[in-house]
Amino acid sequence: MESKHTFSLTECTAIYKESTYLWVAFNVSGGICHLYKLDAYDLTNLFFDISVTATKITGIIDTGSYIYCSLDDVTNIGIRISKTNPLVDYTYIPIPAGITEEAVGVTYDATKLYFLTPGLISGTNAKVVVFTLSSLAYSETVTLTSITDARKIDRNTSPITVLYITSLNDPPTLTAAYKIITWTITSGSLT
Amino acid sequence: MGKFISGNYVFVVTDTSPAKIIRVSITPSSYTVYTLTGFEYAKDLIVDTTKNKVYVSCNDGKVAEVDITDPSIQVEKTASESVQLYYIAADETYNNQYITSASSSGVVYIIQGALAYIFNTDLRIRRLLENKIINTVLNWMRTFTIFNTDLRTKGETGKIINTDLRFTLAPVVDVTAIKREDWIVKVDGASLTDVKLDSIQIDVPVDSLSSASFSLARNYDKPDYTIDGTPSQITNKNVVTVYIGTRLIFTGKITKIRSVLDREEIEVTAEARKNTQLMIARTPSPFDFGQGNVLSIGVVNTKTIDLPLPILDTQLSLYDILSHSVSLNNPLTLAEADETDMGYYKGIKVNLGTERKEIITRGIDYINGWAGVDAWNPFENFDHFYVINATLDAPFSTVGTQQELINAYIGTSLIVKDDLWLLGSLHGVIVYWQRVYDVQETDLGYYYVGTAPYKEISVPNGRFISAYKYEDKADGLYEVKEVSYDYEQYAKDCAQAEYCKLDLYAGNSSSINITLDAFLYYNIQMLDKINIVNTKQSGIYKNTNGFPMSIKRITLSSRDMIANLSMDTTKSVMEGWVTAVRMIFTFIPEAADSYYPEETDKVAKYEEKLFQKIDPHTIGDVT
Repeated sequence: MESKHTFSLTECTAIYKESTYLWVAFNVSGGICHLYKLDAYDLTNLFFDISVTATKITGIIDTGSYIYCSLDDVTNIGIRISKTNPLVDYTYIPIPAGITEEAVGVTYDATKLYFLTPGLISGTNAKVVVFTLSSLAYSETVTLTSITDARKIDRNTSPITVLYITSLNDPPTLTAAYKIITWTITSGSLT
Repeated sequence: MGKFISGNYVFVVTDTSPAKIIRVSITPSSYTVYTLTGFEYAKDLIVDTTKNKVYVSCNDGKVAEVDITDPSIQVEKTASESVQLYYIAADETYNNQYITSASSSGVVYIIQGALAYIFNTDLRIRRLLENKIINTVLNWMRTFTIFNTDLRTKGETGKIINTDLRFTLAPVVDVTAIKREDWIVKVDGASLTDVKLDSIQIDVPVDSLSSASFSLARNYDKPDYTIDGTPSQITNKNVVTVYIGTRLIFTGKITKIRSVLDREEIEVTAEARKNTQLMIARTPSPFDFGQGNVLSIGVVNTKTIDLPLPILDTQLSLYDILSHSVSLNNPLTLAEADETDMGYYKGIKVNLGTERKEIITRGIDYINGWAGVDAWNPFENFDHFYVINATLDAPFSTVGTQQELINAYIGTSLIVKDDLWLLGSLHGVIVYWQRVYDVQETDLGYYYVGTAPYKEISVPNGRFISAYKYEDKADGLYEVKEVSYDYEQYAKDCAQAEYCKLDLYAGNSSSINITLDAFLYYNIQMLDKINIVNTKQSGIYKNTNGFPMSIKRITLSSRDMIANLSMDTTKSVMEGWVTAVRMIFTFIPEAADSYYPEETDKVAKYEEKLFQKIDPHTIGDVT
């Protein structure tokens, strides 16, 4: 059965199902986005309305106690939000030096948090910006050489963390990146 | 945005027409491109590892469900609107997908897949009809209940099937109605085998004898034997017990038998002074008053029962009312009828009478010696009572020598010196004085219970408050206090008692027929109060118009297999008596037929002699 739920806010920019909750991000003009924590089985039941200072929330993941969002914003690349106390317990993650684009996606493993920037600006490649998961301290930036217009990031964590990034190139490109001592990056077109 | 890795596979979709999905094998490294047939402009995907599916959001409100093992297996799912779908999330537990649109409005579409797993429906239409739609909305997401529905329509007359499906967690139990075979009649503890099962009737009125009647298939001239000759005595006031199933309904003794020759049967009637099985439960029995029992407060154990009428267009329940009649009496009040006495009252009033109060001022003064006596001036409008202390000279002493005269009351006039020539010396005089004012009277007015029109009752009333005062009597000075009484509370109690007897809804009555199953189910007993619910006019027979009405007669019939309840608003003798007992907290066994409050006792007259009177001339006691 299909159903439709229309919210009073404009444009959904991200959606994430977590346990019995549905997190939905809305793009609201004025530099303030809203992140709703809803009952996944009754979307009229709003638990939290969290205001996030950003142009757009572009991705949502869940690490257990926290929700992490990637942000389209000139100041912050992401935000960490407590799932149970989101109006009080949240931390913005500043854009580190050298990063000139907004984040379009986010993923994580046991120790790290990975934000993806797209490489849309001329002469700029897509990047993975790495932070320490527990402290949110900036760790490093991995440049995905020759990759532009990256859109999605996901990972496998066994036996080691391998990041997979897809791009909107035509044909699309799939890039894999992993780190043993240094980062190894491979990519190819899916024609 | 969503998860796009599943085990050894990574999935990528293309924003093309037609859309494609590319499954990349990580080890060994390879990939295959699959066309999403019928889908275009894929924007996002999510992997559902539980269902082993990939869901892809596409244009035209479509979501492609792609099998991970074989991506060429694709199922089209659609949102409720034909729009470009964008971001997608999956609920792996209930197989739901949440998809946003590309529109500027905040819209989330939900595609619920759980129904396919737990819902079985068999919808049949046996005749082709035009423009006939069976609208069925079944929507629950968080239950694991399996619901089987078999809806069938035979003809064309019903164009719309409206279905209201509800379910309860409680199991549905088949109900078997009470049958005639469930009636059991015993005489002296032995079950009778020759009772005509459609002849049993139990009749239980509230204030008179209960009875049970039934017919036996016996020779009319051989009543103490069954038709096959087995002894079964019924002519010796034998004890009859009647059961429905295991429930004892009646206990009594056979008081009448009537032999009917032409039918070769014997009609038996048993009677009971009371039917404890259907009377209200009390501790101790209200009929034990002759043995001197004193009832406790709140021993009446009647209950109020809401008996339902059948709901319209639904199957009759065993526990619904089968038939009923209601008679409401709404007499005119005095004002409405412009009459002086309609004989219909809704309240009681009683004249509380007059309060009469004695007002008395009293005091004591002292007079020292003859000089004091000479200077003494009595108070005007006051009474004075004189008590002297003196020394008698020897010649006049009754004992031959000087004698002390102590606290000798000489009356209401003070002696003068010439009169007391017998005295050797006067030590002093104690003067008791008082003034008695007119009795103060106050009207206590009327006391009302209930609402107008009021019935006035006449009972002892009023209050007399006496005061202590001195009184000169022939033999001395006394302090007295007259008999006092206070009937105010007694008059109010009487009004309350009369109000308890008052029938506020005179003439209102109702008769209800219910199944024996319902009778036993609701555990109905005498004096239980009945409301009728599920009326078309909501609440018209519930807690208004004399309802709940009290059951005054119960009749059970094996012929009709029904219980008839006769109810009205009057109070039974027993009920009125118990009510009064509860009100005044005490009960005098000897006055069981009169449940008025006990009249308040008067406070007895008080009288105490303070001083002996003497004759001042003879110095002797006056008697």
